[in-house]
Amino acid sequence: MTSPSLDELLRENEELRQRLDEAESTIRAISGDEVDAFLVRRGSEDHVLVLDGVDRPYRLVIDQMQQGAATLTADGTVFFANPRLAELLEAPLSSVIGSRFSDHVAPADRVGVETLLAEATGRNVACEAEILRGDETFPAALAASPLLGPEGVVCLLVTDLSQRKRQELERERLLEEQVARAAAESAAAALREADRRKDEFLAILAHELRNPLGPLRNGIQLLGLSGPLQPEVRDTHEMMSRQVENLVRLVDDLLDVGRVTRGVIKLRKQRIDARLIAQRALESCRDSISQRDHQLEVALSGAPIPVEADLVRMAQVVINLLKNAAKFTPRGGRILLAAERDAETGQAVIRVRDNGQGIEPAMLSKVFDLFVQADSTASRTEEGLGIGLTLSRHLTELHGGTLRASSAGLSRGSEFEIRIPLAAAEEPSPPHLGSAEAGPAKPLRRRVLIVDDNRDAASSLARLMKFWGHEVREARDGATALAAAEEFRPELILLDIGLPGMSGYEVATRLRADARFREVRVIALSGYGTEQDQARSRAAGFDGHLLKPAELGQLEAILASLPSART
Amino acid sequence: MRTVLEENPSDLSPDPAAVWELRLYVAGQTPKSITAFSNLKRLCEEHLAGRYKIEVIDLLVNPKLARDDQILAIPTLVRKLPDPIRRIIGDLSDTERTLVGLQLRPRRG
Repeated sequence: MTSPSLDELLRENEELRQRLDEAESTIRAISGDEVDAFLVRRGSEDHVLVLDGVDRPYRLVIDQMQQGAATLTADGTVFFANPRLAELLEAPLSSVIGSRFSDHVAPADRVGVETLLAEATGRNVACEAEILRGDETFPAALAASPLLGPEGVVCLLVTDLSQRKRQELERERLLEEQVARAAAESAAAALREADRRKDEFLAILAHELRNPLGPLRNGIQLLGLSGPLQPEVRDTHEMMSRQVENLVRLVDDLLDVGRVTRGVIKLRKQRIDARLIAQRALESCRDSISQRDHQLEVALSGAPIPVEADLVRMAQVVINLLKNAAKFTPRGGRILLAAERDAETGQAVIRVRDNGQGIEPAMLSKVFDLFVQADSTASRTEEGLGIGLTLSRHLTELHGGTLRASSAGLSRGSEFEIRIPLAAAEEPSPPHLGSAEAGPAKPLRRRVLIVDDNRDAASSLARLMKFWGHEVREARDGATALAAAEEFRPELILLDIGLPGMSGYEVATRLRADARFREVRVIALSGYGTEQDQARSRAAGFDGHLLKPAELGQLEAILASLPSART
Repeated sequence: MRTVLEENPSDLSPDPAAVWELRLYVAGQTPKSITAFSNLKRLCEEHLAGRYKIEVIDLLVNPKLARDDQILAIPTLVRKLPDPIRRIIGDLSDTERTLVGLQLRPRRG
């Protein structure tokens, strides 16, 4: 037996010591918490067992991420879920784990989700579904993918879409609003343009219509003034007279609408008694009312009702209301016209009530709109443009008042009520003689020069003047007018503005520049009567501005106002 | 009087010119794996600047590689070169023990 050498023994010793060292240090490392993983052999395979922490970063991600995450076994059971999923479902985590995931899906989407999860064992799939949360649901995006390992295990991610959906809806709503606003704006712009064009058209139309109306009216007046007429002729004459006045009124209305809506109409307010407005209106309407066999009741307050108002305009309003009452009430109906004083509110009230076809609740607010007719069918018995109520309301409002309609419904009659402020207590003065009152011809024979390129207009006016006993000359243009003025020395010149060549303005300016004609009364005759037109006339040197066709009363008033005759 | 041990050639510092090959076995990103690695780097820079090579082996990725050096606990540092192979288990926070284990410092009696 050979004994090992010292060297060999020493080497062996060293080896042993090293191995011991290692063993000790391994144990020390383990117990001293210096290692956190071990290699373990399972069968033929090596595995690393981790004590803690290697999956911490991943675990942290799963725990903290915004989505709910779950691992589902092949039968759809949740065997792992992160806290977020429990939060989304508003259920304790312990109850989520072990539940069937599809039980948390809204019934309508359940089958779809189950199909999805079945597919997810083979490939990545996604869908949207409503998920139950307490008593409500929320929209969610589901993404499922196969997990490596046991068959049929699926990794599921659940993203809450409510915020996104809300934002989408909000964005859509804003977009819709923008589109609607843009549409409304362009519609409004289109309306404004159409409105403007309508006003322009109406102004031109009215202007054109005035030209033939002058001669017509003058002619008819002349016919009436030339002596008593045969009965048959008289009826026809009266009819013609009425119709021409209607025409004039219509044309005035046409123009007024434009003027009123542009705020251009000028009221000639005076202190008057509101009862006079009612009376005046009645005079113009008695025929319309009796023609339809209506019973008329007039109830005017016993005490005066002082107001500051334009008699002609307010009478127009009441006429409009009375004519409507007559028109929209079946034959043999009842109409009430009342004027009273409401001391409590400090207003004068004029009321027109009828027991006719009434107004539908839906129409009540619309009756005052332009061109709205309650009845645009063939049963209309009288002419009208449907501008009456719009105009009436505007005119009333210009007086600081209101015009309201009320009705109990179809066939239950209607009532229109005008309210305007009472004037401070004072005796009302009699109405100004500036309006259309026919009067006897003045005795003084005046020299009148009529300038108009329209032969009928000039000659009809001339004939009228002559009938009234005046001396009349006619001229067709500016040059002739100036020559005639020099030779004839008229006291009154009625000058059409729209002359060929030299305009009426120029003629007036020239006349004024000449000292000889400084005292002559020069009146403009024009189809335009706006503030600007009148101002322009004044600037050119006219003493006055008449709108065609000139009313007899106006002409008479002018003639009456001429100073005493001079040679 | 010097002990036999002190004279043991294996206690003597190895050839200073040789390039050290060090293998660090880790398990993914466990805290101790990370600690071991940073300690090792620091140590090498201080004592072996310019003449070391560190190979990191992640046993989570491939557990089989543990067989090469008979690894049991993780992390473990193995000095492949210079000879002989030395093994140090743990996160290398005890610098003294690590240096001694690597034979960069003599063992205190």
